Amino acid sequence: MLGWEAHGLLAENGPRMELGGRREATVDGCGGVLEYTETVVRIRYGRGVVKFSGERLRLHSLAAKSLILSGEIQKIEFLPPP
Amino acid sequence: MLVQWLFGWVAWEVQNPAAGARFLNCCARARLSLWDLKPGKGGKGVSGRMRVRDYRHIRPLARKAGARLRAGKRRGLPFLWNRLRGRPGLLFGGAAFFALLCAFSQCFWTVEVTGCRTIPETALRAALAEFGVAPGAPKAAFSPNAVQAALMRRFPQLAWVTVNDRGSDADVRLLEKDAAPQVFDDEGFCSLRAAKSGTVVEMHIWAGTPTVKVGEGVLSGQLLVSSVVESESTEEWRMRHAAGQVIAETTQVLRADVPLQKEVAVPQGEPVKRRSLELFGARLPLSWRLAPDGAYTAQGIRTSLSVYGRLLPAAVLEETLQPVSVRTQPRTREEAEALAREELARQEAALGAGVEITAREDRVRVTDEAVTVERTLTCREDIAYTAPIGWETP
Repeated sequence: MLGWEAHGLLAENGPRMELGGRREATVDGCGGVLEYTETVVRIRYGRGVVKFSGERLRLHSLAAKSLILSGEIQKIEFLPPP
Repeated sequence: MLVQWLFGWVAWEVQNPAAGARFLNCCARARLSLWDLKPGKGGKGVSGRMRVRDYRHIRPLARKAGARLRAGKRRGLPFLWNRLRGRPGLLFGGAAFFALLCAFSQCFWTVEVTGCRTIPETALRAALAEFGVAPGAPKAAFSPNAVQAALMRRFPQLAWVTVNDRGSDADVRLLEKDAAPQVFDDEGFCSLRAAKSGTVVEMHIWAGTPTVKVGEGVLSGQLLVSSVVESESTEEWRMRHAAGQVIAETTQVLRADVPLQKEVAVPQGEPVKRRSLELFGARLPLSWRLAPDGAYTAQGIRTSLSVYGRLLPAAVLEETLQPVSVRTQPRTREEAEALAREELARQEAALGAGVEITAREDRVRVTDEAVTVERTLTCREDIAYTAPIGWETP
């Protein structure tokens, strides 16, 4: 049986997403950018796809497994893999 | 941003549509750090920035992603360094600037003094300079507690003083003591004695037994009012604190001597004007003109330099040295007498408000060298002073 500490460790290893209001989203464990425009950003997220829709969307920084997205986020959709 | 500037960055743009996302993923997999990513014009493509060191590696990645890459602005320290490498003067100037900045930040630039009331600020600044707090003095040996203690010892009239080191400024704040009010001893046994010789013209005795009468002459130090009081009814003797006023007509002689010759400095020739720069207390000449030989008078203007209201440890001194010849000129008797009377008027004013002058008589004596005016004043004044009874009382 797993204790609470081991449970937390498993959760940290998986993909994580953190929203700062509607203005910023930090994604850890993303698998790549599929589409990037000012109104739509699609990224691989775990085994699926996350689609951010909004206005003036911008990728602030992009690293191997994480990114920071800012702008006016209006909708977040979790989609099946392409 | 500072770190990015230090390492240097390159702006880039993927120009062909649809390759932007692929290029981003290739860079991310290659662990290249990208920032400030913007979608390209027309909704597709992408632009951004990356470290200049990483830019060398992205050509193969761009080919793999099928992206047409174009480099844009380049900024940061490596580019600045490359530009300046061929200009040693600028590099030397920058290094000299930082060296001077480091050196000057180890010294006091200014000393601000707040709170001087009776203590002359110049005396306080001189003492501060002696204790190592002056423009240009090194801060390394500065100890606020030691300076404060030394100031308290030097100026006993200080109630408190604080010396703070604010960057390159020394801030000195002080508070002077208030003088303790004089305590009058109304309880002890005292008599009234004469401070001056004269003739008593008026007496107002509130306590004690008068020993003189109106019209009598008294000598300096003579007993005027005794502290011993005899009761008429019980014939008992009691001691009191004598109090009262004894107004007497006194005579004072004032004297003023004015020589019949005066020394006058007559300007001769062209004045010498020169400038100097005062920096951290040291004076650096800005002109090569020497002071004139012989006697001269000096006048100067000191302009302190300041930035945004803060005084700098620098000032420009402009001085005019006028050569003069000192000549002796005769003074008329009338002129000398007038000067003597002016001096006597000053001496009269110094007598104080408690002395009423009722008559003046001047006597003028003229010799070959000077005019002497002697003024005899007849005054009315309170000559009584309180003298405690004790073994030291005359």
